[in-house]
Amino acid sequence: MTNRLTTADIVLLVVLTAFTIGSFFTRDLLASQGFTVVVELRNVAVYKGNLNEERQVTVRGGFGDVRISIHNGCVAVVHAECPNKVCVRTGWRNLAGESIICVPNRLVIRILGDMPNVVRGITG
Amino acid sequence: MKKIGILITVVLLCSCERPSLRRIVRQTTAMDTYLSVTVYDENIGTEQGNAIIDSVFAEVGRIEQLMTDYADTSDVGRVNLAAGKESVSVSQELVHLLTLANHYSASSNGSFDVTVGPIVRAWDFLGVEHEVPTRSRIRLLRRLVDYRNIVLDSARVFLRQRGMRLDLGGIAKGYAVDRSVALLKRFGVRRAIVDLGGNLGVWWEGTHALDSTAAEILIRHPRKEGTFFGSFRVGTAGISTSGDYQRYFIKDGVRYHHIIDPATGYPARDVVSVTIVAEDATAADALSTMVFVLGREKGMEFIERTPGVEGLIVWEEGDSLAYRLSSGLQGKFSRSHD
Repeated sequence: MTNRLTTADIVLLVVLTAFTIGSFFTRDLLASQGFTVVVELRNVAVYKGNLNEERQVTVRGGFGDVRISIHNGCVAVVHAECPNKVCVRTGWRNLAGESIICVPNRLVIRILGDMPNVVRGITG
Repeated sequence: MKKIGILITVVLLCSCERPSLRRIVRQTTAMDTYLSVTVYDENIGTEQGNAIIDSVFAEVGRIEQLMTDYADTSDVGRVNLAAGKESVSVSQELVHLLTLANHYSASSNGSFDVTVGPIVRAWDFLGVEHEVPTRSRIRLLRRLVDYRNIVLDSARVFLRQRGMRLDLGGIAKGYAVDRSVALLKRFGVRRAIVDLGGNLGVWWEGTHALDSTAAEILIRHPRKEGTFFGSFRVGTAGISTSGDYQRYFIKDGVRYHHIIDPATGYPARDVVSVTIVAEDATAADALSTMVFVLGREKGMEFIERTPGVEGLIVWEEGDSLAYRLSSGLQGKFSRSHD
């Protein structure tokens, strides 16, 4: 029996090492698939669905109807009758951990999923 | 045996994960936008972290009550009400912020001006029905816009002309972010991000602005909602973006956005987005507005000659977007695929 590495061993080592390094970079990317959108009205979940499904959701808040669009892997409040409309101006959100809040309607939209193992801020 | 040992090592390496980040994140709304605070500190427990974040929320609420121009009882509201009549006793914080704002105004020849309030009100970007103000009305209101007519002493503010209005929309959110970061530090938090409507304060102990890579900053795409234009990494810093896509309405095919050029009374037109990285969020907030109004040439010149400030300017070129980075961001910015 010999301890020398064969060509096959070296190929295996290269493949495994490449896989290991690659997995560090792709894990966050893969984690972004299959996020869940949860809509909560007055702390009660009124809708739960996949962020990748095309969907229009309307909920009745204290200030009238709030229309939520789930489109192209993003979610946004596209119409609300609340006074300040911060929820509408928050725009489209698509990352795990992000949320859209409408204080007057006591509405919270959360994106659930594995948060990427990075420290991230969004500007703009 | 040696061969098996190497293979086992590789397999073990494959099964390893980077240690996951412990984070406490909470969101609310404040200052007419969203507020998110994330604490990354393994020494801060959930209960303690939540209590600290509650204090940050309260601090931002306190600043909003001082600085809003939508309440006659706030410091700014009282100053506006007394414009042209009398000076008003205000908090030292407001005097400090107005002194800073006047410094930015003077250094940009008035491209940044917190007395733009009457014109911003006329445009009413927060309203439901959007109308373009008439030219004669804009011309009239422009006479009320001049930062040199703010009279400051250590605890009082006076606006010289009746009808003048302060609007701190281009600086107060950055200030609130800086106050939040200061509070987090006082509580012993070593790492955190405060996000007030895209005005970011990154606090990462032992790091400094672009010399460090603690946090990834994603910049929203100015024309494709839900996507990002690019990213760069920073350490402790303030970051802000001013864009024509944040608050706007479209009338007769023309986009009218909320970043008003004080010299014309109309939305500044040369660029679509400006991102500023500075040592604090107050500077980043004010300078992103100022550089937007200055435009791509003068704006980039301003960034380049200001120590501790870097930036990205994006403008439209036909159907696509072009951009320019300041020298300190060269090689650090990663453009996303459209």
